[in-house]
Amino acid sequence: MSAILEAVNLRAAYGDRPVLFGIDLRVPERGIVALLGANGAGKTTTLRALLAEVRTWGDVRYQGESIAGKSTQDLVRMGMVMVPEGRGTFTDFTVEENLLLGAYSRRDKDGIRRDIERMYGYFPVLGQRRKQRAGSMSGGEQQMLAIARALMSRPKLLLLDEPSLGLAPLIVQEIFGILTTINREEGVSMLLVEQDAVRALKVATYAYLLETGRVALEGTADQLAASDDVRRAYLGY
Amino acid sequence: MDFVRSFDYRRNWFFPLFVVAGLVWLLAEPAKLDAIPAVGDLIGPFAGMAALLSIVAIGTVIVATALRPVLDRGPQAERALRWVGYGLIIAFFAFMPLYVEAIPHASMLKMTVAIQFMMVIVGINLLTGFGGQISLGQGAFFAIGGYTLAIGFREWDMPWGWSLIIAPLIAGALGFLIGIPALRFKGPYLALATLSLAVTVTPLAKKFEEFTGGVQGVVMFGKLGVPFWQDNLDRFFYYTTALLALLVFVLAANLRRGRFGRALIAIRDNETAASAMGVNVALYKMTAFGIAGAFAGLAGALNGVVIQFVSPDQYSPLLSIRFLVGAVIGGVATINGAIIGGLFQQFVPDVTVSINKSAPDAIQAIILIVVMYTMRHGVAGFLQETWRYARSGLRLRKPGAGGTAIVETVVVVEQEEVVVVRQDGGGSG
Amino acid sequence: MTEFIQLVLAGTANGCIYGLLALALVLIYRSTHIINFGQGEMAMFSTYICWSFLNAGMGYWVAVPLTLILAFAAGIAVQRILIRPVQNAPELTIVIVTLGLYLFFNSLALWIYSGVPKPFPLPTGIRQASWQVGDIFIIPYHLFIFAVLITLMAVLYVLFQRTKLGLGLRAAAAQPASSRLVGINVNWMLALGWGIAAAAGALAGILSAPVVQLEPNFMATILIFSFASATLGGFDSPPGAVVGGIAIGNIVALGGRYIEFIGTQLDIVLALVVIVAVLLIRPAGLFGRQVVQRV
Repeated sequence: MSAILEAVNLRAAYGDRPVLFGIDLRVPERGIVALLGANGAGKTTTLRALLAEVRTWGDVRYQGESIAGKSTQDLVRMGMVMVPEGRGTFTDFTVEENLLLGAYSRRDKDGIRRDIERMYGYFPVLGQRRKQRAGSMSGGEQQMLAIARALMSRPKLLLLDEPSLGLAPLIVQEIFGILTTINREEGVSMLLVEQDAVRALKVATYAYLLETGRVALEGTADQLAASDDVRRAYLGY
Repeated sequence: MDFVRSFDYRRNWFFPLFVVAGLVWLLAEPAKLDAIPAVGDLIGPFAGMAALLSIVAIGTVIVATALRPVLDRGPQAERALRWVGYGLIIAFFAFMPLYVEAIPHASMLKMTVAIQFMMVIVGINLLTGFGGQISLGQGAFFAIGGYTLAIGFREWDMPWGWSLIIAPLIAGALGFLIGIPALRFKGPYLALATLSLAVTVTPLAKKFEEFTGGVQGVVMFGKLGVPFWQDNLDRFFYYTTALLALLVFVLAANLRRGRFGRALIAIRDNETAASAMGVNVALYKMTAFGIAGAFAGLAGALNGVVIQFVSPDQYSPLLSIRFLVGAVIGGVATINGAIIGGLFQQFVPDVTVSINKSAPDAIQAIILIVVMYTMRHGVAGFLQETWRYARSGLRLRKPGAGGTAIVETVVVVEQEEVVVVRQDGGGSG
Repeated sequence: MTEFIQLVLAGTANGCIYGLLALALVLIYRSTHIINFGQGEMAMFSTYICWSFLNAGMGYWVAVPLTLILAFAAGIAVQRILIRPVQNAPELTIVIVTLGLYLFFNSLALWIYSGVPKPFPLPTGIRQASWQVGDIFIIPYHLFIFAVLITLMAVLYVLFQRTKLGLGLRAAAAQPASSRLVGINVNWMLALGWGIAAAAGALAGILSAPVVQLEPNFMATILIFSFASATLGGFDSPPGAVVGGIAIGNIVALGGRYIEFIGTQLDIVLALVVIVAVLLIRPAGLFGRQVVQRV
């Protein structure tokens, strides 16, 4: 299976302070890969490094091409899109404007219109609130909006940062259900950063465990779920 | 929070190059420094100043290198050396009449005014540099000083000496009061509010003609008596100013080093944390405004005495801007920077005005922006960093050495307990 | 009563100019949280450029658009070259840099054009003589200023609310980090904001030049009134800036006439009073959103 994203010896720093110390990472085409680890292990930084949001070194290949020197906008245009932690909602804008902003890098007006309706199909609640101020919605609705917004750019690879953070279990279940649907039906690959390791390992095919900026453990989701270390530290049983 | 990031040789590698270029230019034709106005274009002054700065910087390197064996003996040696430094500065100003003629463009009168500028700037350094409160209105307090003198003289024949006591009291009290609305303003809003204060001075002075003499101002020429040196007023006023300035500097340095200074810095770096530590934020901010106002008021009164004339147009908003510019160029979070700032504001306009009437401001504007990009700690910060650099044997610190970027703020709470507030300097992982 | 209406007409015309410059300040503040102290002087210098074009024999309706385009480009250049490097620097640094802009353009104008006031013509096609309606005199140029302001507001409304570029400009101003993640080139959006602001400011200068005299300090007072307007309207609300401007124009016109103490000399004090009062009573201004303190 070919890889949509492949990082070799990825390093990153905030100012003079190094945070990632050489990470090797691979996301297969149409696959879901989970990135686990404790707070401060460098999960978010890994996503930000892939999107060129922090100072980064190392070799990153996206769809077989090196993306060194590409800016965040370039990468978004190339189909690598992040759903940030805290959802990045444009709070003062309407739901529909948020979706339009998601499609900012696209030019096909009709396609954008159609995709907006498609998103309302995935997330009916957004359709009901299309003219509402996005900031006034609940956390779960904003998370759905964030995913829909990211999908509006027709991504090939979604980088999801803690989509379950602060949400009620039922909502989390719904969101993960939609994510797997999207993965299956549209073939969008996903790199999923998650605190909720149980759930992440359920949807992912492969997983990495980060510790202080390094990969401590990797394997298929089943292997990691079975590993004693992971069980004790992250699964809690 | 790098409110006061100082000059850094690692980041600003191009700046020493710039300085060296200035030096080369100067060495090629040494007469040029003296003949700056004759150059007739803008390159002259910049090259001249770069050259001057490079001479001082190289001097600093030589002195620091030569003194390394002494300095390595420990902190006492370092402290002793600092006092020698202060002594030299004081001696330079104390023996001014002996060589003032030899300094290009200088005179006793100009030196006096430069020292008055320094007094205002020291206040700004406390208020803005350490207190984090931007004030574009110090000219207003300067004006209050001038008009305390002028109105006292005009209305009640008050001896000018009294104004040196009354002016700082009035200006200080007013500064303290202005500190109250200022508590509500942050950053650029405060700059805006204080700027509008500076703007109102001239029209107000013109309006209250019956006290201020209106546009004509108050002329005190030849009417201000002095106890001795009657034949050399310039000298008398110079020493009066210099002594009061020494007082102001000592006071400022003590405030800076004491509890007041630590509390101010704590407020600047993290108001919420400081307040949580029990620092009375409002009181300290108002006091900082009051002190800066008092310094400016004293300087304003002295300025009126020396010029022997007070009129509304002396106190344009540009004056306030120039004070802040001087503070920034000297180094806003330093005490010594005020000396450089004062000299800069007096002499650079004076030297460059002969190029064109508006050349001084144009040159200041460019220097200001260059200083902001290259050395946010001003010239004083640059020299300090140069000294440190030379002290460590001209070795640059390695990037990332010294661990993570942790900002430490020492907060001294009212009970004199020392608490260290740690803030993570970088982003989160 | 006649006098009152007359004052309101004049006050509104002046207020439109304050509103325009306030609009420039607000456009920049909204996107970058910078109060540009150099805004007035940039506008003043643009007005001189326009004067040079006119002086060289260019027609009003050619010279003005050309100046606005140049001002737009200059605004972008200033942001890209001078402001961007200090965008994330402490507030003091940014204030100082914009003060540097103030000093620079002020002294440059004095240098190039000297302090002697220059006559600035009325737009071609606008007559000097006023119309009389009953007892009231209506000055055509005042109507012209008002019309220009309304047109500009309409254009800006369409740009910001009805176009994709406008959506990007608003998003980049409100949430730069999220905007970057949806592929908006935030740096360019901020630069464009500066360009639009510079053009709006230039228009304010050009419109006021025939009324007050064109000299290097002519925008300084207008800048203070504009600060007051922006503060009154709310520093993050473009319509607020214009409404605030018209309000300040009238406060100054009426206050100067009916409050004896103020007269014509102390009108600037009124601006100061408004600034301080608004900041104390309602810091967000009439139309602004309450500022959330970021710690």
